Amino acid sequence: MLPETDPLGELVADLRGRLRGPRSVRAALVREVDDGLHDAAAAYREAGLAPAEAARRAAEEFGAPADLAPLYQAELDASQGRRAALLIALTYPTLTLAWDALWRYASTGDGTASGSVTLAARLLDAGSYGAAIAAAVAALLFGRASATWTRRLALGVGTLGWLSLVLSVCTSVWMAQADGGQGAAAMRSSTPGILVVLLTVAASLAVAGTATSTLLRAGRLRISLPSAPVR
Amino acid sequence: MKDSVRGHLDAMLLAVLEPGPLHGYAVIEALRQRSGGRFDLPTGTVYPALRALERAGYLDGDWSTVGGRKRRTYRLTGSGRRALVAERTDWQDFSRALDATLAGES
Repeated sequence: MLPETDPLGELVADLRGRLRGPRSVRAALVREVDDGLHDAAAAYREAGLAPAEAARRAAEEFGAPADLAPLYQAELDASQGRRAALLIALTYPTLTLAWDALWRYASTGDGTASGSVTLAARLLDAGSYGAAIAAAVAALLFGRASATWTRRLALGVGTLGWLSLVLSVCTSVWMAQADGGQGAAAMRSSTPGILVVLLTVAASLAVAGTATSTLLRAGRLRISLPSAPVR
Repeated sequence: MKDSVRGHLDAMLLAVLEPGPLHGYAVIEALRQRSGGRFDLPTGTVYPALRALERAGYLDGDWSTVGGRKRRTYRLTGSGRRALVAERTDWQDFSRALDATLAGES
């Protein structure tokens, strides 16, 4: 006697194994598919088919996971990309405002900075707001993006995240060491200064993490519409 | 038929959800009934298409209990209704032009 097979369970496991992305979104997508497949099999059973044949028909109608996975992956990439874009859009203005508040209200440093440090600080502020605006626009564009454009946008957001991070870290380190390390010394001697530095490090790690995930996942995505015959 | 169905899947999904909210398999059943059985795409294409329409703001998706089981149910939003009206108008214009062209000289 042949062992009993579970075509629906195998199909769902196959599809799940092909998807990468935010865990909660992936679980919800796969659960919805599982529900739909069991509904389809139940409908065939009610129509008089034997349980095994009903399950086989439901799985056959669904299509091949290899062909369908890119469509599901596009939704996961959109979710991942939108999260990354929103994080970038919120992080940079928050950090810029925190640093501004530190210099203005926390009596950190003696208020003197060379012209080049002041210029670098202004450029950093402008770059931060520019990156945040670009990320906010990308977050909106994810809403109506096709599968191909979702991948391009995700690659763009991941690149924006890393590029902005590298530029802001390099500029910040240079400013801290400029004028004989005056900025770094002011930070070390002030509790608000240490808190803002810790906030900046945590936010930078978060941007680095989400930008890396977005780039890796979007880099793997390949679009091909399903073409396998159903019946 | 399959390619033409695929090209209009979004509009068809909006249309079957116009009367009221449905869960994924009920959407597939409605597509079959309303298309007279001509809907022959892999049913696995419907779920990501519903998610894409939700992402675009045309549908609201929510988990609810239907028939004693938790299912993801979709309902048309105001934006989705406007998109459906626009799709219908486009299709009627295209259909009229195609009819006139295919009818030939009378």
